[in-house]
Amino acid sequence: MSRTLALVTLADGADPRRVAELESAAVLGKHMPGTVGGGHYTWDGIDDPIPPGFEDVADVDLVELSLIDGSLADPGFAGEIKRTLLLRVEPDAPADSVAAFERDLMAMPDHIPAIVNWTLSRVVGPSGTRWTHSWEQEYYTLDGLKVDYMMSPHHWGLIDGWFDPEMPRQIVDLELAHVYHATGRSVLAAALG
Amino acid sequence: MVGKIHVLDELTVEPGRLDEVRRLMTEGYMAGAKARGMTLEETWLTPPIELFDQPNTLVYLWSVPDAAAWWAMRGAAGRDPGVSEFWAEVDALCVERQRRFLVDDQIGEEE
Repeated sequence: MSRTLALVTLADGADPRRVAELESAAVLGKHMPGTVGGGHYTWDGIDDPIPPGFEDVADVDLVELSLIDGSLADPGFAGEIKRTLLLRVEPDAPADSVAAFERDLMAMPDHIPAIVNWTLSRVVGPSGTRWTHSWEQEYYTLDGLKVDYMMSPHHWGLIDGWFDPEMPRQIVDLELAHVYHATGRSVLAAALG
Repeated sequence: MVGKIHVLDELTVEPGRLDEVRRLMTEGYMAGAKARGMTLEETWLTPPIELFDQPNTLVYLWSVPDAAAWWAMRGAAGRDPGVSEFWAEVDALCVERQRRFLVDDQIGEEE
């Protein structure tokens, strides 16, 4: 089963009235301060996120995701944070390293209870996309992401070695899309349903 | 909360290249590491005499005050392309390199 996810970047000088119309018309996640590399919004599960006629968009980075694994600890999750990390594993990374990286990511919820629901997916399209993986989580609070997740020794002491340019085992490109937004529903419940 | 974090670099160097690696570390890394918040605590050589027909290992023990300082260090290194270029130059002189992070054994991972 696959689904789509898009990161949308508004054009510089986008008309605020039209942006307000867009935000009221579409199911979207408006990125919060601290987001890096992923534009202004996340659209989950919508093939064509931009309504016809809306032109104030600089970029729509749409990816097709194929689920590797995930967990729905709280199917009734009602908020408040959905976080997405889009990343690119270097094309020359050894296959056993990629497999170990994926296993390590999927072990994070065992060590960080603040992660409620989660999925790890491979990016399978469109052709030419720069991303290879999408690592998504849902948290009950913003601190769950910014404190429990980011400051966990499991994160900085183990997982980050796959990302760190000072580590011999780095296989992930430095350019990431680390985005998060408030939500009142579980996006991942549908993905794992 | 995790307090002081040690960063342990182990550079296993090709025979005959120790001085080159020492010079690279001194001239190409120390100042940047300090600017990224790293404190050099100790350096060691093992075996404790240079072997010209086998590798030696240079060990550098650094520290940062806490997890926030660790992320500051990591972020600064990620923004500086010269850091990965530096390690590529070092790696060309090494048979193996490892970096490990260590905390006081009394501080367990939160469950």
